[in-house]
Amino acid sequence: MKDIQNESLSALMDGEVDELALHRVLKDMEKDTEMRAQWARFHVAQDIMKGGDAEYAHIDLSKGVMDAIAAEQPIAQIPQKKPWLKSLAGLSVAASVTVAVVLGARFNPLTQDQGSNQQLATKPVVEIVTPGDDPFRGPAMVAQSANGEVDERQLQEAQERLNSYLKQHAQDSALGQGRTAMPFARVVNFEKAAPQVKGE
Amino acid sequence: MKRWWIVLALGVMSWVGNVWGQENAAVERNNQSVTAEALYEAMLEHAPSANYQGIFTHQSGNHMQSVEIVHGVHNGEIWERMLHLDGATREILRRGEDLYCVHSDARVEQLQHQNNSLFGSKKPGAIRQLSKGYRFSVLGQQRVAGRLVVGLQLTPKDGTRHFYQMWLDAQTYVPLRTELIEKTGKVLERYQFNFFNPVAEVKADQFEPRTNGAKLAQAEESEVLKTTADDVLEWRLNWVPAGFVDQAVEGYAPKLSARRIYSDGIVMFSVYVEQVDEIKDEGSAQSGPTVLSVQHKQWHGQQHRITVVGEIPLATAQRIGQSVELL
Repeated sequence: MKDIQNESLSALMDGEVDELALHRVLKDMEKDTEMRAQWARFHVAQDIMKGGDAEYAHIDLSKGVMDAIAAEQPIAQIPQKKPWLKSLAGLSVAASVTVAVVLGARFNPLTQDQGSNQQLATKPVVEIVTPGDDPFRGPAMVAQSANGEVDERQLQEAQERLNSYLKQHAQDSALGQGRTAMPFARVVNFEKAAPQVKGE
Repeated sequence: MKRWWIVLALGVMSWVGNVWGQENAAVERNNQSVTAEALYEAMLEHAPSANYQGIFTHQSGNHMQSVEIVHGVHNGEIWERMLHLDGATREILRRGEDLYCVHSDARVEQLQHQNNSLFGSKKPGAIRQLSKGYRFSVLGQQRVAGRLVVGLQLTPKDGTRHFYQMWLDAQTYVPLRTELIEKTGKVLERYQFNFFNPVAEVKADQFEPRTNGAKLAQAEESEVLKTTADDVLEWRLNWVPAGFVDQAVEGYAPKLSARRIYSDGIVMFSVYVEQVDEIKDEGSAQSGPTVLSVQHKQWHGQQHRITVVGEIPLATAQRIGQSVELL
């Protein structure tokens, strides 16, 4: 029971529970003070692991937290699958990936809530990751291949083609937006990757 | 299933909020009742001719950039200069209907020519067209970039498009914050002024490019219009969400073969249909607010690649792509 609860809490922190489970967890928490305490401890632990830019970081809680953590079961043992720990590991990857275009013979449609690199990383995909030279740049274009039979040149071509579509669309729709060029801010996202239509 | 109840509840709440907001705005405007439609029309009428300088942020997915903007009326024309402040310098200059892009190496590319502008001088998003896809509501007042703004929301009448929120400067009607929002509440794209300074007049030198060595010169018309008559395919869409109109049919865009643009008055999507020898890639991707869906169909024993790009939900893009029929 305890393990299931912990796992639910952990999933909840990660925003990975479905509606049904959410209601169950909230109901359980209402009744169970220990569970509420656990919830709070999980957050403390998560903040610390994330490098804790917590609001009250200037107050030294470390002693109390250390004690609390010491008294706690080792986190690694709690849920079999530790979603938020896993996501911490994934964080550095996500931060460095600015352009990730993966194309294959067939790739599945992304779900509505895609953009998550972790989600994709768990599936068998071929990935070409080009860390952008500029952190402000880079469409997070992600797609995946089912059979993995893609050569690099083909990928490159597809990426260029898609980027030029994106740029052209951004430009056209900016022109159609009326009498301010503000929507052109969008175009810059696709600029470098897109092949030049013509030189000078 | 339960999600629908939440959506419904939010809908009711926002409706109540709107009624409240409408009253607020009405109070502000000397008890005249101001509808969201009237606010929108006021924006179309006044914002283009406003004179201002500012800095806005464009946020798209994880990507964010700052842009300096100078906008005003010069000799009866709308002039504008935008300078990207992050990364490589890049400028967009508007001189009436002429539009230029100045790259960081001072190379000038003309994006639109006054004699054949893609969309002409059409005012986008007439209320009549927008009303087919959206309900209008007033959101009340807020403070953006230190200024009083009045908000309005375009709520989609169906699930085929996203929400739009605009917060208009109470004095100039310039939108100081514009957001494209998913049904779930996730903001897909945001334009927001951090600094906004309306002025009586913008001096001409303020519109000069800041990039060293950039010279604006009008290019040949034929060079600006990048349309080819090659591989002309006759095709049609058997399904478009309500309110979306082919810009070529409207006469605002040249009739393009491989690519067509559709607009519902505020959001656009493009469709590309091309003959290909083999299927190389298929599926979908997203970059900020823009989704891209690639699928294939066979006609007359020949593979055709259909690409839909636009600021629309993925399901909509896919359904549009599926509805393409070669004639």
